[in-house]
Amino acid sequence: MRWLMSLALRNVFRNKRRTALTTLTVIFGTALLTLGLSWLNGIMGMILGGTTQMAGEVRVVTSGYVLREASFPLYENMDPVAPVVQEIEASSSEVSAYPLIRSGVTLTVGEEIGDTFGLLVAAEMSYFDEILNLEDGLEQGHYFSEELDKAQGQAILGRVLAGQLDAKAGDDLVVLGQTQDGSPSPMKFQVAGIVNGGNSLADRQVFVHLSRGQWLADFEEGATEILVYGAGYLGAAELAESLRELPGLAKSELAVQAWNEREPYSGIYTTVSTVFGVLAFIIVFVTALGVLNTMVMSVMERSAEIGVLRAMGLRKRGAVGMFLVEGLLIGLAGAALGLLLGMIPALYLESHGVSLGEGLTSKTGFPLAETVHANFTWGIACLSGGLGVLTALLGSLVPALRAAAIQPVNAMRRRR
Amino acid sequence: MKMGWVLFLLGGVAQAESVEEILDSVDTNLNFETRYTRATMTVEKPRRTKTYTLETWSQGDDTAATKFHTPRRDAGTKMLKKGGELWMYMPAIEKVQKISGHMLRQGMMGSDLSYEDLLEFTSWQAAYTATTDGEEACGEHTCWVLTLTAKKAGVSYPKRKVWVDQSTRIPVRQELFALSGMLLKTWSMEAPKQFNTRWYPTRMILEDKLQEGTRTILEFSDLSFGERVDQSVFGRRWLER
Repeated sequence: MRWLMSLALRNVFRNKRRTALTTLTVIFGTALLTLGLSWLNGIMGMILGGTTQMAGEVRVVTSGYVLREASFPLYENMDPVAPVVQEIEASSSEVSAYPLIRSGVTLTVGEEIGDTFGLLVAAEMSYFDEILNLEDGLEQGHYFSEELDKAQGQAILGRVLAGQLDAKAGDDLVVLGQTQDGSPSPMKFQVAGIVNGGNSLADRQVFVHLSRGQWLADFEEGATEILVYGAGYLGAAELAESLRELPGLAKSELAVQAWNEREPYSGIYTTVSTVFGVLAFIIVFVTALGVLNTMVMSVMERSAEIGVLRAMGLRKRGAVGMFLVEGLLIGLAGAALGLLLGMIPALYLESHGVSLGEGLTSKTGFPLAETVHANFTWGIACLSGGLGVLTALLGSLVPALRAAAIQPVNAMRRRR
Repeated sequence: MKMGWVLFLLGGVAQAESVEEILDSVDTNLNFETRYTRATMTVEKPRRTKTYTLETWSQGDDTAATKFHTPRRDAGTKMLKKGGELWMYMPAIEKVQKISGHMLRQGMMGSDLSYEDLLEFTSWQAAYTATTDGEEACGEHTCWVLTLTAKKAGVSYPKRKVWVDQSTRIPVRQELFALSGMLLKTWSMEAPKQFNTRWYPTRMILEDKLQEGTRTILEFSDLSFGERVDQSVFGRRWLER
C-alpha cells in the first residue's frame, strides 16, 4: 500500500502543469459548490423561514377553508377558537398556538374611500411580538400601545402598503372589509407605525389586534386559522402528525397541515430542492469531466510505463489503485483549497447579502426579502468538500480502468 | 257552473294575449312612479342565518334610497342609488363609499340580492325580447312561460326564463341566466297582494346559484305605491344625516 501511495505521489509531482490543471478544476468545482449551495441555502432558509413565520409551521383550519383559502373565506371559521388553542398548547410545552384572521380589505387614508387593497392580519399581540417581531422592523412611528384599549384602535402598516396609501404614523386609517356573511364591515384605526416586515408579503399587510378582526368578521370569539409553532420548520410534519391525534382535533372537521403539505409552499420547496440538486449535479459533472480529461491524458502519456509495470507484476487492481490514489490526492488538495476559495464569497454574502430591489420582490407571491443573504454551514462545507473529492475520484475512475486494461506487450511495442 | 264559464272565457282571453301584452302587464305591476317599503331580509347561509330590517324609498326606475335598522352593527347604514351610481353611508366610519360598475351586481349585505336587484326597476318590455314557451301549472294557477332575451348588452341578466301567473300577472318564478347561459339565480315572488289595480308580491325568495346552500327571503311588512316621497331622501345630504 505504501508503494502505491509513493507511486501516486511521484506521479502527482511528475507533470506539475497537468496536476495543477486537474487541481484547479477540482478547486473551481468545490468553490462553486460551496458558494452555490450556501446561496441556495440562504434563499431556501429565507423563503421557508418567512413562509412558516407567516403561515405557521403547522396550521389548523376548517376543511372548508382549505378548499377556498384563496379568497380568505371568513365564514369558514372556528368560533370559539380558544378551546382548540388551549388543547394544542396543552399537548406540549414546546408548542405555541396563535389564533389569526386574514381578510382582504380596502384601505383609505384621508377623506375619500379609495381603492388600495391590502391583507388585514388580525392576531393576538403575542404573535406580532414573538413570531413576526414587528417591533424590530419599525421604520416610522411606534409599536402597539401596551394599553389594550389603545392597541385595539391602532394598526401597523407594512411599508409597501403604507407607500401605496401615502400613509404616515398618526394618520387615520379606514379599513373596509366584509363580515363572514359578506356584508360591508368598515373600521377606523390610527396608524401607529410603519414596519419593514422583512419580506415582500408582510410589507403589503396591515396588522391589527385580534379583537378588531373578530369585529370586522362578525365573530364572537373566533378565528379562521390557528398557527402552530414547535421546534422549527423541519419538524413540522411530525408536529402536525402529533396534533392530528389530539382528541379535540381528531373528532372535529378541522384540517391540520404542516407548511410543506400546503400549496404554494410545498411547490416552492420542491422547486428550490430541485434547483439545489440540479446545480450540484451540473457542477459535479463539469468538474468530473475536467478531471477525467486530464487523467485520460496522463494515462495515455504513461501507457508504456504502465505496460512495463504490468510486465513487472503490477496487477490490474494495482494499476486502478495507482490512478485512484492520484485522483484522491488531487481531490483532497483541490477540495480543501476550493472550500477555502468558496467560503470567502459565501461568508461575505452571508454578512452583506445582495439586494434584489423592491421592484422584483414586491411582485412575488411568496415571502422574499429585499436583501438575500447566503447561509454557509459546516454541512455545506462537508458536502462541497466531499463532492469535490468524489468528483476527482470519479474523474480518475475511467482512466484508471483504462490503465488496468493495458496489455504489457502492446504497450511496450508501441513505445518502440 | 257560471264561475267555470267565466274562468274558461278568461282563459281564452289570456290565450289570445300577445307576449308584449303580457310583458306590459308585468311591467304595470312591478314598476311604479314611487314606492315605499319596509321589509325584513333574511339571509340564509350554510352556517348561519342573519336577518336585516330595512326601509326603501323608490322613485322611477333608477332612483332609490335604503336605510337599514337592524341588526345593530348595520343599523344606520344607508344606500342611495341614482342612475348607474350608488353611494353607501357607513355609520361606523361616518363615511360614504361609492359603489359602481360590477360591484352593483354583487350581493347586497352578503345576500343573494344584488344592489341592482333591490334598487333598480327595469321595464321588461323595453329591455327584453320575449318568446313564449307555452303554459304550465304553477301552484293553483296557470302560468305563461316566457324566455326573455336582452335587447342590449349591459343588462344585469341577459336572459330570463319567467313563469308569469295568468291571474295576477306576477312573475312567480324566474331563472336568471348569464350571457354564457349559466344559471345565476332563481327568483320567486310569492304572497301577492292587490294595491288598487296593481298586484305585487309581498315575499320574494332569491337563490344565488353560484353559491352553495344560500338563499335570501325578502318579506315586505309595509308597502305603498304612488305616495309622495320626501325628495330629501334622494340627496347626498340624507346619507350623512
